[in-house]
Amino acid sequence: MNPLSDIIRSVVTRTTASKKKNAADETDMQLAPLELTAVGKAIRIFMIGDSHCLPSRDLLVTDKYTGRGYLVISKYIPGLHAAGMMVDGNLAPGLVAALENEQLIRDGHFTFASLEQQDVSTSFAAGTPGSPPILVLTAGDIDLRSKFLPQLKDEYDLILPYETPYGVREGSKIMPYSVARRAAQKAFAPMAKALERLKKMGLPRLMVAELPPPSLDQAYFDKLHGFTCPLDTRYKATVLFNEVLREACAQVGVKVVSIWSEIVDERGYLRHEFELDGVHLNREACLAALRQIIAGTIGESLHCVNARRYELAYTLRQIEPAGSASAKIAELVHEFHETGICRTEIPTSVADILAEKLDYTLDMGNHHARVDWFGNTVAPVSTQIKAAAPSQDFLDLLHETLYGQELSSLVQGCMGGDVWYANCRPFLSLPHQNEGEGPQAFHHDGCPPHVLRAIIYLVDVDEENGPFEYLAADGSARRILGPRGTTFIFDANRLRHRATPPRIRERRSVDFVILPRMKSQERRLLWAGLNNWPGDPFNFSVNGMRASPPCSSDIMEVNPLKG
Amino acid sequence: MSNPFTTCPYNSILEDARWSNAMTAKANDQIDPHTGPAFQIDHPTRIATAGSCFAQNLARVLHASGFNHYCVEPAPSWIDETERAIFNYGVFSGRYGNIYTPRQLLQLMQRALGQFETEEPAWDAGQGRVADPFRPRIQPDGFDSLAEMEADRAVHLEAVRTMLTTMDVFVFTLGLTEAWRSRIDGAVFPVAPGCGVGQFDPERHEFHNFRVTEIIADLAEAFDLLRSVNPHVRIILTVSPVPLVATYTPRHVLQATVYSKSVLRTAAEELALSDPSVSYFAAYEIATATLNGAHYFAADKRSVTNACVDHVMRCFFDRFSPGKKPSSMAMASTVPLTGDAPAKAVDVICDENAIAEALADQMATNGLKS
Repeated sequence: MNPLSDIIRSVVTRTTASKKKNAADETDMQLAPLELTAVGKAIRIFMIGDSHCLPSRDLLVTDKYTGRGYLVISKYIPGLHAAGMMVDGNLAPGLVAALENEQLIRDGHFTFASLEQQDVSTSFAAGTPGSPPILVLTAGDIDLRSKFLPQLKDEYDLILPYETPYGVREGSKIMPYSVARRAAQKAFAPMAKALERLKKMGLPRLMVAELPPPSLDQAYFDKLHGFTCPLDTRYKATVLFNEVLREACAQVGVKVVSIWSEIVDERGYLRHEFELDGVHLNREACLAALRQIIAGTIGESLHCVNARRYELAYTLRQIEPAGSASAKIAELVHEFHETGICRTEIPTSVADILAEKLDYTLDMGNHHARVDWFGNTVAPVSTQIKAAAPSQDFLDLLHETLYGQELSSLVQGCMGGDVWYANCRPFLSLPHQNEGEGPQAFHHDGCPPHVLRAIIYLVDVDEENGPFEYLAADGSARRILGPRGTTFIFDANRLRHRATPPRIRERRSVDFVILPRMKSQERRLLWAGLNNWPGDPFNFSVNGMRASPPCSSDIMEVNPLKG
Repeated sequence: MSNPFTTCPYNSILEDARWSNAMTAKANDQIDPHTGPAFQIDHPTRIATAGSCFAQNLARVLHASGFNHYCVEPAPSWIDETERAIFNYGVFSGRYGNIYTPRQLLQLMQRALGQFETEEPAWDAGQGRVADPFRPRIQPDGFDSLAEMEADRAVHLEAVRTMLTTMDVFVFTLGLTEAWRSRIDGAVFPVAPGCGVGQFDPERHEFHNFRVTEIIADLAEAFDLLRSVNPHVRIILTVSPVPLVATYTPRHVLQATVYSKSVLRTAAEELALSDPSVSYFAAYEIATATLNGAHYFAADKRSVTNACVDHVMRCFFDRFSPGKKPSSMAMASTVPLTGDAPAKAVDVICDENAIAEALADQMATNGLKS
């Protein structure tokens, strides 16, 4: 059951009951004590721009897939048009004010990436991840309806050089498509510059909403605008503006939110059930847009990592008192720092037990994909590799093994402080004769700073069943062969590496993402599905994931100021 | 002894019929080769213009002088002033571009009145764009699609129909006798296909140099057709003094030019003599025969100068609207007749330039300096 729905339903029930009670006994002014339940923190989606951002305002949705809530913060800037998004070479004051008002930017910089105490403090107090905010701009419709359509009125029509469902009025004069395009380009050029500026300021999760399909209410259009412009002409003009909008966004690498296909009928006109007031789309249409925004953000989650917060986490890592590490451990740590990799082992018997507890029923699709994690795509990236969802027994045994004295000392030595395991992913690599693709081709992982990786073989690995391979400093390819229980820790940013394709037998292994542990954090092992690492090491969701010890809340928060 | 010249018929000729009076005794820039009465044009008179590039000067000065240059395809608000000429708004009364030959004029009238449909398909303007074969340079880079061209053409022909039926005066400047036409249906184009726009196809296209009898017949048929829809229209014929940019006939371009202008001048005279509603205006003579050549033609010996246009327009106003003066704006652009400064050419939009561009391209290809 959706917890948000429960809360909303209980509030509605309570209010209704209260009204009935008041009606029955007006003298009874006593109210039952409020019972409040925290639903949780929602990820904010900022929609900023013209009035088309308004219908989404304060819309709270949950994603059944991850259970995560999203709240739309709408910042309406009256009169904001695409051509006015840059003023004297700077972002329009209204746009800057809207971003500042939400504390997204301060002193011309995005606060999410800031390590200034004020911003770190604000971020923790607000319980928001230090990750790029999701920002959707709405602009261009004013340019269309107030500047462009008055030039057409009912005197000029457009003929688009591609097929549309919209007709051409016989005998009407034609505004050349190239002229119309130029007008749209002129309108969107400042907007493209504004988008580019925002991206350069460090905002990768930036999107632009397409102009909505025009209302079919011709009389209302005429009355509202003081001139008439036939429906099909308005539709073609909007299609053209959206075409130019998409081009402008593509040039600066900004996604466009396009829901036309979901909300127009077979004739290409806005379906009545999505119309709000003759100008705007309604909440149903907003939901369609949100689906696309959230899905798009998850699909582009690589943008969410905040490297500066990872640097901060490293500086705050728990450094255990220097113990009596064995000479062997010291030698391995030295080897790691020299070469970027070192090798050890866990007991074979433990590896066997771990292997028995796994059931590889999952494909390589990331069923825990979300906006605050960097991870694989929802769609499977390979059919040659299977994944498993580990049981609690598995995680507990693995936790005990990882934090055993020998292995723990080694990993701490490599990290330069204590660690926690942000993910453990059991993989089954099937034999095949193809060239290695994805993780089976040489790559760097692109980890955030100070993130280490490790792998434990759960089967004996030789040349035939996909040994790990890396390129040493001298350029030579080296393979890790060994019996089950073989364990190696490596710096995936430093070493190009791959899992070689198994040729005859399958390979079973568990790979790990190792993060520096801060004082207030537990020594934990998390299974985050096929995600790689959180966008922000201080604030990230863990709902739907499994851990040892289990997580006590859906969101893991660490106060950097008390680290 | 009696005067042997007493009965000489020349004793009674007009003052301006005598060279000594009309030419020798006058400064070159004061020569006005017109005599006799002409119909009058006033500010409200709807004056439509068409013809070769030279006719554009007439249209511009009429408009700038506050006369009613009858524009049936006015510039839309979405085109700024600097682009109007590029889109051919206001260059002539309609967006038909240059009309060099009487046959082209006749066919435009016939198309506008639904009497002629050509089988010539749209021309390729490059990069997926298309051009109207009958006004290939009517807007920059052609049309974005065939549908757009056809829709614009329909609106254009409707506007031409309006012009034909409602104008008061039609000023037509004869430009060329040489033309390119369709072998299929005889449709005449303003420029040869393949000169920047379209593809020349010898199976479909051919060159034709109109003879004087054809020119006269075409003009007569065009004016008959015009009067059938507008009985009271008056017509002013002029001949462009601008030489051919190139001839396709195998002879010197100067010979070809003189032939062409002579034929056109003869035809104009023939029409004016036989039709009282047709008046000939001697722009050609002013430009070429008042011994102002060094000042009336630019360094290319082809383009006319502001001074030339001013002289022509001064005479035009004196003849058709006495007491009115060409606009001070036009006068301001006049290059002094004295002085050593090179004469400056008037910027006009000329489809014939396509030929010049093609020739320049050919020279560049051959490694010659264009």
